[in-house]
Amino acid sequence: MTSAEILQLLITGLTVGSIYALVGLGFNLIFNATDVINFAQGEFVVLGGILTAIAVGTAGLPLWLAVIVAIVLVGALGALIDFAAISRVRRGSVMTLAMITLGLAVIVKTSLLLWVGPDPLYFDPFTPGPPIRIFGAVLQLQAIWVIGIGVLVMVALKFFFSHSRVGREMLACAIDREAAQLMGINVGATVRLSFILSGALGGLAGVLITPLTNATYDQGFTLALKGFAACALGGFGRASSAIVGGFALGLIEAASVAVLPSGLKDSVALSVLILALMIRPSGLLGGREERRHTQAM
Amino acid sequence: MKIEIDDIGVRFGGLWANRNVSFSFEGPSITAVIGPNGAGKSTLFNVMTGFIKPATGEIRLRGERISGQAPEKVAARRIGRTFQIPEICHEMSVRDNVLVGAHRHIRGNLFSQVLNIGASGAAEREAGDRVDVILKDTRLYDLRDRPAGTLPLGRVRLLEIARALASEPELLLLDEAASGLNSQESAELAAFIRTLPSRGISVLLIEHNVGFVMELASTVAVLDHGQLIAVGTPEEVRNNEAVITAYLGKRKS
Amino acid sequence: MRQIHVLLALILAWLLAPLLIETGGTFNLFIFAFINLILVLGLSLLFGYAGQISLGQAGFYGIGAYMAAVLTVRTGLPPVLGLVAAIIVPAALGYIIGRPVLRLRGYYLAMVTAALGLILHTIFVEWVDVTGGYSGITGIPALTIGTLTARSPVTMYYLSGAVGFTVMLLALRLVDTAYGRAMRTMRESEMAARSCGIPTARLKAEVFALSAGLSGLAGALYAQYVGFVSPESFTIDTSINLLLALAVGGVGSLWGAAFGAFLLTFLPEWVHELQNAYGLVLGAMVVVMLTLEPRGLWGIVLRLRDAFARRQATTA
Repeated sequence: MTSAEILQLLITGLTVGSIYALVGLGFNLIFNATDVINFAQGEFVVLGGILTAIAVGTAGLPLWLAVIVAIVLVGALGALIDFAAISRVRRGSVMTLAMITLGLAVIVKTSLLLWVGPDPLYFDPFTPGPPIRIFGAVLQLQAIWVIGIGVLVMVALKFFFSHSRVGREMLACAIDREAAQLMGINVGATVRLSFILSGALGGLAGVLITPLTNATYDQGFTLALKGFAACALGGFGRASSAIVGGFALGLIEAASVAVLPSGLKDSVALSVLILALMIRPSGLLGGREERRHTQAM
Repeated sequence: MKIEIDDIGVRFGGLWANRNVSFSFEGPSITAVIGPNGAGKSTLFNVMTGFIKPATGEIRLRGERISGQAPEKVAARRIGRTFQIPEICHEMSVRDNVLVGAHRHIRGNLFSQVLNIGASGAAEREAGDRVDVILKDTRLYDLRDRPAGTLPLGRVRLLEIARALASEPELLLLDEAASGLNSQESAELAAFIRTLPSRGISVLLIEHNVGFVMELASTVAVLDHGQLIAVGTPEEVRNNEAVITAYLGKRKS
Repeated sequence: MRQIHVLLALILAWLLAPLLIETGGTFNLFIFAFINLILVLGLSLLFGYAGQISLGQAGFYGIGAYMAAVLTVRTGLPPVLGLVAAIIVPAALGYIIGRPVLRLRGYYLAMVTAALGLILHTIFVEWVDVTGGYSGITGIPALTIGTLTARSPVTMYYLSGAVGFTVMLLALRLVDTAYGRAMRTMRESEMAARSCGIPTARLKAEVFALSAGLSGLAGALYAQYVGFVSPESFTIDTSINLLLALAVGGVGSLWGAAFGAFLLTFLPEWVHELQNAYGLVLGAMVVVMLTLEPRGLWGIVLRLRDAFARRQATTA
């Protein structure tokens, strides 16, 4: 393998990895506040991409406005999910809540199929222009956007959880809901906020990748699985671990495409997830103890 | 039957939950482990039943090491237990919960049990008869068809004891069996526990209710901060200086 | 036992129903309902009773279908042997995979089984020499037992129904044996199960193998009836739908599972005009049902029964 090829592999890996990290961070937001894994996280991403494509293509909005509209709408969907379903569940375990999000994922996905059909949707990259060539490797301008905004969001989230009051209250809700309530934290509002932020983050991820990968109604679950893998590889509950895990996964996928048929790309990435969890069931970097989320319904 | 607890040490992070814990007892008898909350009593139980591997030392039953083995292997050595926070199957009936204790005695695999062939049927009936006797002993017989989740805590504690007894243990470990019971319930429980040695069952109790164990146990071991500070008859322990300062003293003042 | 009475009534209805059914299409629906019944019962035992979630059932369903297809079409073995292999191979694979994988719990197990399902789907697509890739395998011979060939809808209606009812009966029996009690105890407390001498690691893998074997059986029945298999029948969507159907019917109940299986089959038919919209209806049912009653439709039945019993008690 030439050094140009290796560089290319790194660039591709980082680009894809940023996306997985963003999806993983979306998981983390809701998980941190509720202990629930949101199976509809991948659908948030797809929806963000498709909404932007429609806003730009059909409605003719300028790109910046389309992006804002898409992110706000997906965030609103997050709020709606919590308002209409999650916050109304009085009995049952976190697994019940997770199953509800799985049902919601199917609803979103089917709605998208009925609305826009099975064909991929697309809009132009944020900045037009030919890709940059660095030592023989190709760097798409959109990839710079993906990595740049991805890193920005990760840093912002890290700061949010460690330094802001709201962020710390969110963590407190997951660690002990009743104690958080006693301390005067408005648990309901905090959980609602986590769904809104998680939706907006998912929408943003969709907006960023669609110019590179297109958006199809049925990509959601695979994306969610990769985002989860990013979290699991890193260890759940910490923002930084989703980033490390996401980049690791992106690089593994890029490497797999370099040596194996591209149809095996997902399988290779998922095999790594399985093997990693076999070796370290709590994630490679460790993480919050998983015991509480282990029961069935 | 002889149980030897030999230099048990367990470390969680930087903290020793048990350290240099050594004592032994012979059965059939009633022995108690007492100590303030966080003294390492439950940890010691978890070591004895295979849920925690000790960092140092070992536990021997009839001279053979049982610590470090999987919990189901330890159970097969006829050691039964209950839990401080009861662990029962809520939607299953009281009787079915107790039958789970007899699991080891019901031979056969998935197929022979489902098709009711081989020795499975007979073993199931035998286990059922034995369980009914235990249910009567523990006064749960009239509640046998109720979902276990609908029982009050006092009955749930008895249910766990019944389940452990169904495994025909030689040694029964009771983790805070009297906590959450009213005075009448705990008196009944004490009377019942007192009958067990005559049936060849040794009992090891964990309690922080000191009065409850002083009446029952012939040997009392006292843990404090993970270490054994005294062991002896209730009388000896009651008069032990270290125990009085560490534990009883606080209560008297 | 009242359950047996219900089951006998259903069997009677099943035997007599062909007197009322006129079109082959209706038979088809019932055949697929029985195939789905076997799938959902397998998942119910695994998730509802043993507490181990799986989003990879479609993978084992697919292995069963491909075993039945490949062995009969490519090597010319009799269909019955294909059916037997379609049970044994997924079960064995389930046990081997289950031993390490089932150390994981909750979300991790859900995601890892989903990953396994996706990997198996990739194998169905990519191993073209054996599976025929996207175009799949055609000309799978119908199941033949002795002189009876289950090609016509009526024959297959009775055959799949017989298998479906047998599995239901055995599953009802299983949950009441020592084995079933061990599963149910393990679901609520692994500690309790192990302290009663139940080897939970092995038990989990065995139940995983059982549900994989049942999925394989369903796959063989499907392949040998339809005569054609391709990867699109065994996607992650299939696994998700099975889990959602079970959730609507009731996770902790075999009757709930049976209801879910029939819902899964008949729902696409009822919302026919909307074509692919049944996902919308199924998803909505899950959200509404679990928000109101985590035990699903069966939970509502139980609540009605309790309310009825209480009213009887007060009037008596």
